[in-house]
Amino acid sequence: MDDSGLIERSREGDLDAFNQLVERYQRAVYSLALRMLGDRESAEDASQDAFVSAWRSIGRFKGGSFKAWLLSITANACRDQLRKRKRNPTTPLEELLIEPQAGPSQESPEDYALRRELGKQIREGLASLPEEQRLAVVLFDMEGLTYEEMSQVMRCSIGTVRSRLSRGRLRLRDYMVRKGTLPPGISSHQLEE
Amino acid sequence: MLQRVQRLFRPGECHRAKHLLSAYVDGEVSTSERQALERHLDRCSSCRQELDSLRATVALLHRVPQATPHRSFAVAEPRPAPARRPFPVLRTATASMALLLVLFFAADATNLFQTTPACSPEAGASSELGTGQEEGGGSYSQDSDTRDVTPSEEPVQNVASAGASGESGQSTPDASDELHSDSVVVDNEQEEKEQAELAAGTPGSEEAGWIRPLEYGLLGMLVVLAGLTLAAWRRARRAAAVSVFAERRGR
Repeated sequence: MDDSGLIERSREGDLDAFNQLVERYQRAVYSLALRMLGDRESAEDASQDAFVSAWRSIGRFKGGSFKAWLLSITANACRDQLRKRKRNPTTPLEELLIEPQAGPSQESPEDYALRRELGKQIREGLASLPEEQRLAVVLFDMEGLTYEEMSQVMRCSIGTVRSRLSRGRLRLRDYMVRKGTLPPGISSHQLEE
Repeated sequence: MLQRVQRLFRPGECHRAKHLLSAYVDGEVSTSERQALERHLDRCSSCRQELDSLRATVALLHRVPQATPHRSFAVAEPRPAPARRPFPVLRTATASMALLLVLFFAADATNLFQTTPACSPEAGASSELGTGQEEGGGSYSQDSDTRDVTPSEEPVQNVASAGASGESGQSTPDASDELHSDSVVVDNEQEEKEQAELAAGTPGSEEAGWIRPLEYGLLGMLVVLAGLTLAAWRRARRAAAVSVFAERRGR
């Protein structure tokens, strides 16, 4: 059954239909939460909160992209988690590990080590971004949303989406250049007048 | 068009080009922006380098795989029926009560119900008349011993007031005639009493008396309803938190 049929049944209170939607979108939701929050436990909490909220409020879904609607709820759940973290800064964060890429096992140990190192730098670079810039980068470059869907998730204009994505990517690029992963170009700081 | 393109990127405006590069990589720039940017890139090697490093960053980000959760996030709880929750009903009742109270206050403030003392002096006087006559009857009984006025001297306009004086005036048949004859004195006494009562605001407060208790009653009900609504809201939040917690623990 396609999404619209499952959404319609979920609106009527069919929990099994909603849980089929959960199965379809839980990787996207969890990925966003993990990239935004950095640790597995917080990401799981935010994902579960997001799905419970979505289930309770699916009657208010007005059509359009269901994924964007769901990720909008997830982004709010992540903001809640980040606020809790600010209130309780002593909570130790788990090590932020990027998920290993699934694939054939012909990968050499060197390539695997390089991929892990790249993943580590991306993860640390993302963690260094301001919250809304990080959200923009994750939504476009990792979740594959369009600018229009991003404006729905981030509740801002497409111009703001463009600006946040640009700043986020440039900051991340600067981080990677500092770490030696990328060749040096023009530093954003030189142009940030 | 050419002028606009030239206006977008004057020499030395690399920072404007830099902010367009990200959208340019995504193909999300307008035709004029793309033309201006490409023109600038043709003559600016540092911005070309910037573009290359940005493209490399984006390519790297696209290689990041989607994370796989270690557990399912399937929802276990049935959706609560909104009609069974007391909070929305209480909320509506509190809002209605507050609105009603505001309306009554507004009506009272604008004298919609004519609750000020000057509103109906006739009604106030007539309501006081019975009391005055009764008291007058009593005073007449005392005065009747000392006064001797014949019924023929009774003024015509006092017949009605004597009739309204009630049974106290008729309790002594002989005295009833003397009541009419003594009406001038009684009228004077009544006027004095009425004036004293008007000065004290008694007739006006009788008119306004029904709205103040109503307002205070509504205010009291509003306070009680607001308290109940707050308690219901807190209970609903606590129940929601407990159900989510129990769901997580169950997994």
